[in-house]
Amino acid sequence: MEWIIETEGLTRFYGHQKVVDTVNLRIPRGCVYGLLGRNGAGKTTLIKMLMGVIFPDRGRIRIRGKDFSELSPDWRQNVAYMPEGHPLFGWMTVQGAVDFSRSFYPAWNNDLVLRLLDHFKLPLKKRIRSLSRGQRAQAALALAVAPDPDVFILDDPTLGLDTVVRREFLESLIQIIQRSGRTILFSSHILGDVERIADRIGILVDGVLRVDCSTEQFKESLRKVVLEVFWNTSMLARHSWLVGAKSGSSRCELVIAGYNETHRAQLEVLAPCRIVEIEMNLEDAFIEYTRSSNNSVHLLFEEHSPGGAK
Amino acid sequence: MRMALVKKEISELFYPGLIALAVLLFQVGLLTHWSFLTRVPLFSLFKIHLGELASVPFQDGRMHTGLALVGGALLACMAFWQTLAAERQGTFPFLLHLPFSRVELFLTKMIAAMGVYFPVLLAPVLVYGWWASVPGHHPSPFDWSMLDRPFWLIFSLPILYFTWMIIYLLQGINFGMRLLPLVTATFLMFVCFDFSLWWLWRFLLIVLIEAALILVICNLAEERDF
Repeated sequence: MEWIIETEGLTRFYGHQKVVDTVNLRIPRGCVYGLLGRNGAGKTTLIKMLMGVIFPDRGRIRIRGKDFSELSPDWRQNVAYMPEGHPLFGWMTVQGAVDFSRSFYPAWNNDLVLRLLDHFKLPLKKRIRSLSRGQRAQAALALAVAPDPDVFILDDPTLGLDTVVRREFLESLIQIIQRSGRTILFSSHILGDVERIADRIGILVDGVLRVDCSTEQFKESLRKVVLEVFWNTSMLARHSWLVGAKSGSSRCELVIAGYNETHRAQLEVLAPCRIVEIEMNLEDAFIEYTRSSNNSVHLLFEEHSPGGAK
Repeated sequence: MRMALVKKEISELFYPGLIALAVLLFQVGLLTHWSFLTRVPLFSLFKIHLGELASVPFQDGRMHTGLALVGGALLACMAFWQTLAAERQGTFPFLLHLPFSRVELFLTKMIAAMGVYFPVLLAPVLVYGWWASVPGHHPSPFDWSMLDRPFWLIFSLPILYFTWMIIYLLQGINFGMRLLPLVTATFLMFVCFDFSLWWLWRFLLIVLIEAALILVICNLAEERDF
């Protein structure tokens, strides 16, 4: 399997705070990888380290099997990077931004960029600063696609976009993904978007990559189990598989990581009146998993299947 | 492709450069024949400090004052725009993702800034020099060698630009400590203006200081987080 991005023990401190903690990440060719985490979890820091904008304090990064320190600046010609907030030069016109970017990339596809700008109905003579946030995101996407890169690294690309624009943006992104062999790493807070397009997800909690598995496996692994009981549930908190527990007078809601028959047998020993298993969507699963105060919570890792992406 | 980056940098520095040029040309106007302007209350300040018709061009220090003030402000402004302002606008990740090394990127920025700075400061000096060289414009002798002081000033002022770049690029140090390089640079500027030094020593001293500052900037750019 060809790894496009590999990190080994990647660690970064801001002052005394460890914002990225020993992250081992491997993204194969053709994978669409969604990087999730709450605000301040370390997503942007991790992406910036992958792009060489900031440096790790410890650990290694390999891009296409080559150590980061050995890469010449030309490697960036095949990697599209959309930083958070789509920073472009506000004083440039859309046409000016196209002309400026074009000169740096030998494989620049000007027809494609013009078609995309036309599709997005972006006026070429308008200044970037007078575009709406959605239009700026679209302009940034068109500029990112034009050099025909193999790898896309997008830091919260739909941040601040309204629902309609976000949907249009994602549809464009899906069209781009459809070209086989392209690898995409993107971070997002919109779990619905991630569910739609990601093959695989990674969840950062306080800088630690606690989940690295397929989207389906994550949803299947995390299960909400409702028990109708008459006893105190505090004893359950000791288990590492217990992500969260809420108890009422006669009802107890448990969220369990890596739910399987063993867990069910353990719960049945507690003699509840009834056990109800509820499947969760990605958003619910993410919320339950990341709001857990249990730092020793079960880690979800799944080996990459041969062939990488689904 | 480097030209595209140079053009972009020059476009961003165009308006500060234009303003500086306008101010300096206005001063040249006051120093030559526009002394009537100093009767306007707004411009009376210039009459005292800069604008009174010079008896001996380039020898009374008024042109130098203007050059130092306007040039210093322009250089600080350009360094600010190319570092802190770009960082605040979040455009550094975009620039750093271009297929350049960080050193190339910052060298291009510095070349562009110098490409704006030198014409803006040299043009008024040359205009004033041309005016002074025409017989009958003023009652004193004139020789082109009288321009050496403004030229030395223009040549050494970029020390301030490089220092401001360093100040803006330094991270994690309080602003008071960051200003230390500026104090050092100001001291070095005075040393560079020691006209008892042979011109070649002075020239080499300025070149050495500027080269050292450029090296520090390249080193900071290589190792800094953006």
